Amino acid sequence: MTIPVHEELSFRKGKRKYLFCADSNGAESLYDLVRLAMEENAPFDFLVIENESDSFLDLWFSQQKMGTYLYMAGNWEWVNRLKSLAVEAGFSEYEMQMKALGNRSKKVICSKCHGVNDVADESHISCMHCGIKLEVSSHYSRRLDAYLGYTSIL
Amino acid sequence: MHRHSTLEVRVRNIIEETSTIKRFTLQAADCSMLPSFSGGSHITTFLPQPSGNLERHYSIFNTTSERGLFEIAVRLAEDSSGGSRYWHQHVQVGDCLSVSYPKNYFPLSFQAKHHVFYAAGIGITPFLSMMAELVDKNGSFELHYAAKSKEQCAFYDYLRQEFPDQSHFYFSNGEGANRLLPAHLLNHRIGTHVYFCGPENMIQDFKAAAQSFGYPSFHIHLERFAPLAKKEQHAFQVHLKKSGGQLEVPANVSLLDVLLQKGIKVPYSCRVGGCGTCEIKVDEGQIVHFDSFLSEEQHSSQQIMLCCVSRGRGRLVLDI
Repeated sequence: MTIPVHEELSFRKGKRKYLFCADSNGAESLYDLVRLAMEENAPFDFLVIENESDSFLDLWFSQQKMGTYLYMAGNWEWVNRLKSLAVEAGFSEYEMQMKALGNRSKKVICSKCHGVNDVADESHISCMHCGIKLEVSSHYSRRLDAYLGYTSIL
Repeated sequence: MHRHSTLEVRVRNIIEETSTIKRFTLQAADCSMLPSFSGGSHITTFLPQPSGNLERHYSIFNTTSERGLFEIAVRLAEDSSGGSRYWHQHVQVGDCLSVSYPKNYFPLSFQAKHHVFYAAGIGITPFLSMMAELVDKNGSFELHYAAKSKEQCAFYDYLRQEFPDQSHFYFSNGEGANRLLPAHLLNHRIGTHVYFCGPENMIQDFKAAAQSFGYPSFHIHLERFAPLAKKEQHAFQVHLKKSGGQLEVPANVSLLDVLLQKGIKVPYSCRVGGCGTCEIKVDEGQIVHFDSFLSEEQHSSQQIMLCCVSRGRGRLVLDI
């Protein structure tokens, strides 16, 4: 299962516990949410993760109880690693949000030839496989971990 | 190949599970194998009555060693509207009757790391087939099952024998009463999906507790075999935008039944607001939702309704 990465994080009220995970760059993105969790008097863990092993993180995630909500903020590679570990431990897309920092290429599927294109921030591209002009949409496929490129009708 | 819409079955065996619950084993009337089914499936049985067929839904399972059979368990309801009384007082071994093909509105989640079943009374029945499926798949699960006493606990010996490590019993009568409480929901690890089946107040209590503990709705599954009790039963009017008709829905009749009586072919199936088959679009008016299928967002949008259970306040304009 793949889960889209959020542009902005929003606070989910009413959870029994919150987990805040960040790399050294992402920690600041979570401060407002931590404040809201404190106002709710909800228990939380805040962990800055740099070199912790997969086995440590898997154990930590797996020991959480239902009703726990997970926030993650860090660079793309870090977020993808943490997301995979959290899903493997049992977190569903309804129990987590993540924010990735910095630029990252995303996959765009051509609606004509179904070829995969790597795209940075462009809103329009030419498909590298069939050459047709594509508009990068917000239509995200969890199965493909990619966005749909609409053909531009001129 | 022509396929009949119903199956003809013969009652092969009847077992008294408790003083109020009977188990019926059904085989195909032509001795062929009945269709296979997934965990949580049910059939609709068509019981002959002078006023027409009475449709009742029952979870199916198969605790026998023989494939191709359906089993159902029926509790004699004190306020039976005909279905359970018919099964208990009229159905004999050898009788033939019609049933639907298996349908499943209560399937196992394929994303769950662990499944926890909460049953009370006759609510155990869907979990019998779900647990059998999980054993086949080597899935992780546990059962918490409440009954008044060991004697009133259907399938007690079977559960102890087949699922000894996963079954937990709670008997509310007698000395050392041990009640099944929603606080159990606090113990489950991340990745758990919970399933509730039993009396309405039990389902409501456990669902509300799970939500208050922070469970996402995606992880909560429940099955009702009767519509949610309605606090308000007012008559209302509907205007049919496309056909231009105007209909009155009396207080004690569902919108679905009114539409069907007028010859409007609305697809439907469960009639208890659980499957979503009878969803219709609403252009105007205030909907009072009684279903357990649509999301909170869909309820608050006031644009769609399940016409088998939900109602209107005043006048609704339907997009049909």
